Amino acid sequence: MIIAVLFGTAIAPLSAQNAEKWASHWSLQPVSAGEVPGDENPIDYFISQKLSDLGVEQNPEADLYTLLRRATIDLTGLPPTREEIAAFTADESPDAYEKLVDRLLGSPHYGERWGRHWLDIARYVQGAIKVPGIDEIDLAIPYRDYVVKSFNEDKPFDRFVTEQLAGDILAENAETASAYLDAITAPAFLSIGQWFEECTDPNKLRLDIIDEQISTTTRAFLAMDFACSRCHDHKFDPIPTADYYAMAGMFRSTRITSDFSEEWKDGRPRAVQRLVTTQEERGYLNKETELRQLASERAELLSKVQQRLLSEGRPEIPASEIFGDHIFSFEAENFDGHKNLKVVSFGGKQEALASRRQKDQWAKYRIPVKEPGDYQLLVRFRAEVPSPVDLEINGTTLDEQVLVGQTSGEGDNGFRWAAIALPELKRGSNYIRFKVAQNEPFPTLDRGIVFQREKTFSNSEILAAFWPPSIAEAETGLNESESRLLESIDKRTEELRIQASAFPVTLAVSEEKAPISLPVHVNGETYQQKGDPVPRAAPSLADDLISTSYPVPDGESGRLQLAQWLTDPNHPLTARVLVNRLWHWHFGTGIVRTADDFGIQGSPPTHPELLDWLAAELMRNDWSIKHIHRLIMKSDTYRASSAETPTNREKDPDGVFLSRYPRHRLEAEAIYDGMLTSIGKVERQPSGEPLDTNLSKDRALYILTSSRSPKGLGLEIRKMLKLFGYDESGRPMHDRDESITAKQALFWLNNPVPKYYADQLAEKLVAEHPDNAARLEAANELTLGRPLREREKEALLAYFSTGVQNGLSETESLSRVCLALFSSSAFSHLE
Amino acid sequence: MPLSRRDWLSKSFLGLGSIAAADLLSQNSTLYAGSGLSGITQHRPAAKRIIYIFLEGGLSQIDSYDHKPALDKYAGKPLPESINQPEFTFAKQGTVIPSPFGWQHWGESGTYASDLFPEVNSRFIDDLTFIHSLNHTSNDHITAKRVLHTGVPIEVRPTLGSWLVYGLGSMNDNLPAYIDITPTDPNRPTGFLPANFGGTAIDKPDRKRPDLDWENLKPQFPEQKAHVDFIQELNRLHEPDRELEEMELAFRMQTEAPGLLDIDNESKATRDLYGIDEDHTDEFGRALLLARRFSEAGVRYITVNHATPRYGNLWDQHSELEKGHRGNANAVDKPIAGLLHDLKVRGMLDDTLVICGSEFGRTPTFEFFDGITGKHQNGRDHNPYGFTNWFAGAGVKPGYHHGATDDFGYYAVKDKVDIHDFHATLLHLMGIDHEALTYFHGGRDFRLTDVYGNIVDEILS
Repeated sequence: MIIAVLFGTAIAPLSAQNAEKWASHWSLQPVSAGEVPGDENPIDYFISQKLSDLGVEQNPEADLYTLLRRATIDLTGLPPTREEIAAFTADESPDAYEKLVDRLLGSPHYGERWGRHWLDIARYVQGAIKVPGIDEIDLAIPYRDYVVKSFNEDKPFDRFVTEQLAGDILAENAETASAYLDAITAPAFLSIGQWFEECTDPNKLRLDIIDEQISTTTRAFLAMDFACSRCHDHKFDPIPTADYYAMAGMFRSTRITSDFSEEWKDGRPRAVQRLVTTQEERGYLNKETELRQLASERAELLSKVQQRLLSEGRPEIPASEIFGDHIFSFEAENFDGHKNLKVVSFGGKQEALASRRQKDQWAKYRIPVKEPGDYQLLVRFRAEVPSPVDLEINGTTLDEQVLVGQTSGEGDNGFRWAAIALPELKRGSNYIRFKVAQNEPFPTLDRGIVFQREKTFSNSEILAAFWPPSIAEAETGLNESESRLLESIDKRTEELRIQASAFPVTLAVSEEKAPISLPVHVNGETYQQKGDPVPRAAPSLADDLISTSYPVPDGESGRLQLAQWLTDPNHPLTARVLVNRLWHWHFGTGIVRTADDFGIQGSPPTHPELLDWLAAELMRNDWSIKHIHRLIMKSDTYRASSAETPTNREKDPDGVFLSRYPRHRLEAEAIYDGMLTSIGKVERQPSGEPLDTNLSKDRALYILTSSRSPKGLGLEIRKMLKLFGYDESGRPMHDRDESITAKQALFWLNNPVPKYYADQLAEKLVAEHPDNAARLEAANELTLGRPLREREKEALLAYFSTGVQNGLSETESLSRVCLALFSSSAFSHLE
Repeated sequence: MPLSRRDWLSKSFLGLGSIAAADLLSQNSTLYAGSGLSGITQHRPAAKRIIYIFLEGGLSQIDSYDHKPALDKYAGKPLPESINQPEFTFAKQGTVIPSPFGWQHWGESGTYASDLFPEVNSRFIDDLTFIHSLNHTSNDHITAKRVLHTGVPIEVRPTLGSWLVYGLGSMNDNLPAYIDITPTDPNRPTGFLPANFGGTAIDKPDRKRPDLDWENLKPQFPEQKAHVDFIQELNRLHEPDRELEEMELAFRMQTEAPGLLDIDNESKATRDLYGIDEDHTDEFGRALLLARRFSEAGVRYITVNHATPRYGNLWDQHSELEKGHRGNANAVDKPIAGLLHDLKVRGMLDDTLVICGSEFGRTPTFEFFDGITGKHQNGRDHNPYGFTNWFAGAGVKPGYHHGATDDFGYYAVKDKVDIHDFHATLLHLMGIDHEALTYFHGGRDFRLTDVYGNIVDEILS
């Protein structure tokens, strides 16, 4: 291997020179909670110190409109409504701004905005973790909602970390149902990675999954990427290969997949569990048991009927009458259809067609017809659960579904014939297609026979023709009392099925029964192991600072101990990394610019004392994130205007020293939501109330999994999110790409999405306001959050009027004004 | 405090990488002090642009350009033990099947090749340079394509095209520098490079839908100039001293680019050359003619995928190898020969590098029917361990064959070329030192070639 040549001696002790560097590296020093003089907001104290060193003054406070738009979008991802603008700008009380911050922090939309920030770190991608083959079902939705809820509840961050790494272990001690559900949902953090499912070597795949978990976890909480140490000691940071494998053992002892699938090309499905409390789970299990009982009662009944029928003998109808006039028969496995169906064997060498994955399931057959007329189709099928099928004939779907019932009986004995009346077939080729909706079961099909015949086959005809009957076919020979009994079994079964399927499903993470440690794998190679297993343990990088030890018991994976270690009050990284992220999301750039790299190669903090003070403040206040928000939001630094002056541009070109609020481009979601809400979508939910996700479903956070894209614009919206920096590749996003590109400009000019919202907005404005001046005024407030200035008023009116003079309707001309407002730089920036 | 490089690149880069980072380096060296970009162009480039013809799914090397007589000898028998075999395969391996195609000597070089590509072989075989020993270990399409385009299988990294644009920029301010025709991985992002360096996707050309839409380039209404001016006025009124060039650039692109998509003004002779309007070749002929037009207009890197965009894997003959490969080859042979001819007569082959091949080759054995694929025992499985790509044009040695696979065409055994070597060589041909082209991300400098890559000197002219 090439790697071996370069890193053949990679597993060597960490070099002394590096060790010296780390010993003095800023991020591995204890967090020092320095004293802050006076009653100034400590944030302003640290910021102003640096600014006076640089010789530049901080901007005065931004105007009320700017401040309101900044704070509202920053905390909720939604622009202020016209009512909110009016109320805030009219509020002359001295604590108007403080009240605003409190209202916004209490808004249920806060969790949607800040939860999404965390989801970036956790590499959550909308609609990415699918039930194999079903696009609309995203198994990561419960995790997404858990994150949103946790932010809304201001869940202490140490708790949040622990739940995500080890919630499943703590779940049984949960005191409330809600805490229990949180605990079993949160560890999906470890399972939502887009590890590649289509892999030929399961052993390599397993190590790749572990690598992905390690990389995501260490970058999220430590802002260091341990993945480099899979093959060799980290080149720059204090991460020896042994530490990597100590953690790898933890994840190797954690189960996130179900059993390895035999169908290799389908990959290994993620393990799932019902998202229910233990009590509900018990109820569910009872239902499962009853369902199984009903199934066996059903089979027993039909088996008895079969025996009775056999003893009574074949009905007196000659088989030749039926078979005599059949025009065509086909084997189900000779289908034209989807790869999602597969051919299966049953009863020796016989073959049938069955579902392989529950998406796009259909099978098509050509029926050659010499004489046009009425035809009957007999189909032999088996269905362990009821699997109603839509039957399409020459492109037209029959009104009634076919093959609706379930069948009992194993293997060959479980097949029965069903008769279907076809509409008139034409001369030549006719096509019939069996199809079921996504996520619906597809019955197993064996064969079909087509007869020219007007009347539908009776049960006794079928029974006679295919004598002797299978268990499943016994259904065609029921007497009245048997029929009633079967009906009652089927009715109860149906009820239970509906009840049992009502439980949502979430990804399951659990402890392996027999935890194991992993040895170092030479150069990360799957089959080259070296030395004894490295005991499962937390990393060594903070050994000097953390006096408590968290030994991993033999019977546990060690994830819980990892979480305890991360949230140890003496940990130098966890709190620092988080407060830096909060700063980053508020201002566009962190105190440490490299939010995911606190290592030697990362940027040093611009304000180290401030970073430490915030980290200490977080821990002192029970790891409350909202406490840090409040401190930041209420500082003069946050409230400063974003205006650039020759001095602040020269002395503080990027704005990272906060001589001004650094203007930055909004994320894709906020830009989309800005258009969406301008037309009155998304009702603002009251502050202090829990979030009703259903009312928010149109927001960008949910749009790709809620099937609610307007007017078939789903694909364009997906492209838009990517165009503005949303990365759906499944790698963690620690710093959204804020590029401003010509492709984005082309989007504003020509894409149907902004034009759709501009049209809607124009129609709304025309309907709601009597004159054009009011319409333009409203348009500006709804898009940019402030009234028009005099010269803007002239410009908007001029463009609007020119359009009308050139023959556009008022609505269309207004729509173009709205489109230009969406396209303007101010709309997609936070100022 | 100077701007950080990433911020500068992501926030200040106008348009689609219209200015190469390297150009700016020479203008303002303090901005890039110590950066990886210094000295990326250490020599005069042989090639100004690359057209990569990508036969998606896996062209069988042993049925096209890597002749193996042992396949006939061992027909119906298992591979001998002496041949290296992978630890895992997708499906159970069958016995050796011989190549169903006719083989002969072509051209003055007498290169022995099958009759899959008669037009290319009869007219251009002596212009082609072959690497027969490409190899990697990614056995499925998606990771194999990622390896080929980005150097790594799973993680999302920038493609070769993105790296080229990052290093060299565009030659035409009004056009994207990197274009992906018939994209097969619409999710192929730029990895850690800012979005400016990504490829621009163009859907499969189709004579039934000649009106190609190209990522929002089609004006929604005619009064575009006035609309752009109005947006700019709003921006200026809002913030008097901020330059906003993206909108202007977008407008210029919108004016220039659609003309390039319109191939109606090409002569009939040229259209015939590419097989346009002929049933089998129309689609790919259009794609390659577009590639030539983009090249002429200054696009750096163009991938033209022969694929069906929805399902991909057109060349993936797990069964019906003969029928499938023959049909596919018939669709691309004439267009490829047409492109080579067209580039040649326009003098463009001197500074254009054309590459043709797949993400991997195919096995010498057939694949057992598993109920889904390979209904008949006449198809081959994936084989990343030894496969062929060919090169033509700028900077490569015509008629030269590099490297070899074992007697069955399974594993590369002589002068092996891995994907990092392949990338190092392509960057070299474009004038870039692959060790110097770096991007700082997540705590370290990344390279397309990671810490590997040896230039394959032997193929250079």
